[in-house]
Amino acid sequence: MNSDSIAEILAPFWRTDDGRTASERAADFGIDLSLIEENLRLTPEQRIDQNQSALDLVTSLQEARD
Amino acid sequence: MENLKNLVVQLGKSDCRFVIVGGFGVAASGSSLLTRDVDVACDMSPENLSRAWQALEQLHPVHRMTPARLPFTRKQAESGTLKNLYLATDLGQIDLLGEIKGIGSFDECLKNSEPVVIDGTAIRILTLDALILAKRAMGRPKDLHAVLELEVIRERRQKT
Repeated sequence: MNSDSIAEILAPFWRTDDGRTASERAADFGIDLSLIEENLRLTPEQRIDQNQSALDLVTSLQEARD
Repeated sequence: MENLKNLVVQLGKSDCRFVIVGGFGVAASGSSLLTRDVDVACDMSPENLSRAWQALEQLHPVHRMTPARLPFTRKQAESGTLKNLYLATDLGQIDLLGEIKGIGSFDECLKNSEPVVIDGTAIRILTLDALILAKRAMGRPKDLHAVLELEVIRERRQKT
């Protein structure tokens, strides 16, 4: 698949004039909206901490595999 | 050890004028996407870059785009010639950018930012609307996921 084909597939998701809500568009794209809902219950600092924890886990897994 | 939060706080505790843009701001806004670096819009004046250098010096900043990964020096910071900086530090990667596509100069970013307290330090982050504008302006496939999540977050905020 070339980059033009990918752009063509993604084009509908860039639009905001298709009558769909942002949630509908994101769900159709395959985004798990429950993850966003969970994040919105956190403070910005807690979200940053969560990002760091996930990064630490990824790093640990990568180091374990190497 | 990579620690983006401490990297941002280190810069935030200095008098350096900057605004968080990009993935770190997207994550702080509630997106589920992970980020492995920090992008900031920065006042690229020699005076301000000198402050950035002082804040980052102990983290051994190097120009990560150069093959030899040469150190970022005070002399360079104060040269008045830098438009963007792409650094690697002991705490992770940070890009200091003079202009943000879709928003504009550092001053425009500052106007479109809001404070967020991280580890007791007030850090300015692009507003949700500005993050969406910037990501839309980038227009890469990887930006689309962030745009879609940020627009869901905006929709949720508008409902409450």
